[in-house]
Amino acid sequence: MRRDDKVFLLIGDTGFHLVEPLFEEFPDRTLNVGVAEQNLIGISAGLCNAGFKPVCYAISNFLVQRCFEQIRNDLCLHNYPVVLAGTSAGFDNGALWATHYIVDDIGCLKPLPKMKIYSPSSIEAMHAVCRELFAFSGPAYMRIAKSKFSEGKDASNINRFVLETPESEILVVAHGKMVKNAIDAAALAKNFSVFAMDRIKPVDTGVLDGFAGKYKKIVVVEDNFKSGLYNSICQFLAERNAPNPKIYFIGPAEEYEKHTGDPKYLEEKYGLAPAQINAFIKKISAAE
Amino acid sequence: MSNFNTEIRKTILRIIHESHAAHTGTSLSAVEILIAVFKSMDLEKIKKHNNARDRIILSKGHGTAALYAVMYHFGLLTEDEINTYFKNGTVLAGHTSHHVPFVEHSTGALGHGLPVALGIALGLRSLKLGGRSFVVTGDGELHEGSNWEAIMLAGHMKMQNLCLLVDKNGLSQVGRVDECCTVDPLKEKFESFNFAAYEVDGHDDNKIQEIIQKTENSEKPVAIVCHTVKGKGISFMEHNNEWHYMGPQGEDYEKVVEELENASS
Repeated sequence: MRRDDKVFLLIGDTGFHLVEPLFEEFPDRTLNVGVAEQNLIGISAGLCNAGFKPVCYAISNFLVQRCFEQIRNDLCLHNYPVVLAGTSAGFDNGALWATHYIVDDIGCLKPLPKMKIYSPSSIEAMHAVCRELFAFSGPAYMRIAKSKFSEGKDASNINRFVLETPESEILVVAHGKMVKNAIDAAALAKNFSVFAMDRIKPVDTGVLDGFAGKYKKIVVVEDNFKSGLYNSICQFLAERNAPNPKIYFIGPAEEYEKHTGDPKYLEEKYGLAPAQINAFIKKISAAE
Repeated sequence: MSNFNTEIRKTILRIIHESHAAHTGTSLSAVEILIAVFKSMDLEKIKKHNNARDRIILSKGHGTAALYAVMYHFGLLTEDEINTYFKNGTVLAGHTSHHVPFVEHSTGALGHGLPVALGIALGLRSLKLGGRSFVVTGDGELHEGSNWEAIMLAGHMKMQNLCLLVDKNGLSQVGRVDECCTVDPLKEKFESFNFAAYEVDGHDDNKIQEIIQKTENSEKPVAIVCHTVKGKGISFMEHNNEWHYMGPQGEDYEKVVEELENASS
């Protein structure tokens, strides 16, 4: 906001003890619209009409799903440069249950023309994603996980290998918090590589094409239904019209289960814990 | 009804007739509201896309034949352009599109225009620019909760450069608005949300324009409840919801032409 006087921060009553300094420094370019997400998105579109580049910050569920039609008609139809910064991803809010955890946002937004989707996997990846996001080239959604995971080195590019195991025939592709789980799984048995897909849409076709020629098996690990990254990769491979690797999915079943718990509980329920990922890969390694 | 207003109705009915389009009644109720707003705006700033320009959003996007006809008669659309209305390959679709020159925002799904107009008003205020943000909604459209999110916040923020005009023709698609879910008392509702609210004959564009002009320096957002007649100007269309979806063809169109010729003579 200091560098670009057209950036305008809108919040949907989210960000207590986080956004206050920005509100103090930029009183003319910040607004809490209250608990009113439809209005939040509509206002952001109007601000674009007046030349601003809004960032809308709210809990992902309400930011994406409460106001889906506003995102479709007021943002995507107009190709407006609005960043939707959604806090909480996957099972971050697991214990708060299905109204607050989010495993269906990527599938919701993916079909919308112009919409870009990011799921940064580490602190470093978040910086790299923000460099791309704050070019404000159109509507974009950033799924912000509650994680302090640091790769310990700069992530100059998004969509990159975070672990390359020579001669491995299996590749794990993950995004967001699941990248850390995959890296931890790999520490238990170094027989696969891990790729962090920080940008889910537009689909990185160049990278996927390279995978298809190199690996025999691809395992998508994500804290989202199959409608997310897995679906994008399947579609890419199906349309490729060439010999493909086998593709596997580790992630939540398509359900809103009545029993819930903290993120670790739900990750274990759906096979996303590092030891489970490792066991899954061991199993498919043995299979033809 | 002045000849100018009648000419606009002729255009609306002609383009709907020629393209076998619909949404006739809702277009005819909004004519004077749109005339009043376009007369109040600085069209030169609009033509130059000056950021301090006034904006208008037709939130009831299904009445877009009226918007396009008014824009045509105010010199913002050419005859060639308006003659493509609702035809294959056009950008002048049956709902308002921002791909049409000088249209600020695409609408069609109801309850979208007012929050966007509020965002424009906020942007203009933040930039300390003088333009006003006008938005026209229907009365049935006010059933959409998103409107009330925007009304509540606009009143709270004293968004003085926002001007809402409600085309209160009393009919939504299926029947009477007040039988389905009344929006009354509307003026009082707006006042309770901290709007400067007015009621006016929605077919008197001079009176609507007067209110727009006298509220230019309002300290509050402005709401003008315009009492209108769906299908206004054509005897057999007035108050008749058959013409929500229908467009005039055959003998009906001959009667339309005859009534409008009589009105302008």
